[in-house]
Amino acid sequence: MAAAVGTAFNWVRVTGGVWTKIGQGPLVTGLPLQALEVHPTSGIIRTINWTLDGYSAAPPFYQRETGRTRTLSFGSPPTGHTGDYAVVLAFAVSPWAEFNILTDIPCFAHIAML
Amino acid sequence: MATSTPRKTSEATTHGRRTIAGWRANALQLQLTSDDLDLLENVITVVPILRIVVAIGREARKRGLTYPVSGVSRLQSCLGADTLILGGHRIDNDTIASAMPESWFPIAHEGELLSRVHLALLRCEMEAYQLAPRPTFQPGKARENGSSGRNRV
Repeated sequence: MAAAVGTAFNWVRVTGGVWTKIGQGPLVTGLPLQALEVHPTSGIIRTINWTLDGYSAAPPFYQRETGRTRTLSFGSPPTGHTGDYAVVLAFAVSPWAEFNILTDIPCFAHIAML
Repeated sequence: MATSTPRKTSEATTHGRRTIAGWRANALQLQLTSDDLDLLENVITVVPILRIVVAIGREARKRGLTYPVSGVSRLQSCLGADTLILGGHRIDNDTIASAMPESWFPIAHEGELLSRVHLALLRCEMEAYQLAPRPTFQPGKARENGSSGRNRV
């Protein structure tokens, strides 16, 4: 996840049941907040159970968040931000961080820099 | 509109499969051949820390590291009493323990190992940079030494 610019619109197709990397790169934004967005690949409104693992070269080095998000399907990767944040993280500035997600159903996901 | 319920624990969605494909995710697909080896050699020179990651990955293969890697002790036993000096980084049992928190384990496959090694190397460089002595900034002195008003490099 190249901070604010590189993957701001980098939606990743996530296979249900498989840990999938959805973002990596330096965290260099002035505001150390990151938001997870998830949307199902099919159906109209689905509930997604997710677990997000964040690994960073700077403290806290690792953080896990889990949750359940009920949200719309767009049938294809959304364009830009949807504004629907499943969770907001607070990883501090870091030379590199990686985010991996596990979901129970296929979905599109990405990490947005706030 | 999404409705979310963050939870502290989730049994249903914490034990998924960890695969190389999931780790690569939407990385650009390339059909590389042995003819591309010199190109790869040049590319990893663009970001020199990746050359160290390659060297450590080769060591892990050479020493027969198997996956999953359960914890720091497994990496330490793989390295044994050896010390590797790679690109200004010292890799031994102590530095592995100090640079790789247990929360980064288990490591399911080689891709995850390379990711964690990359993070550990960057962490060490950042911490070394933060601890390094800084030159004292003396604006007056800088003016005295400068023979003209032009910037000197």
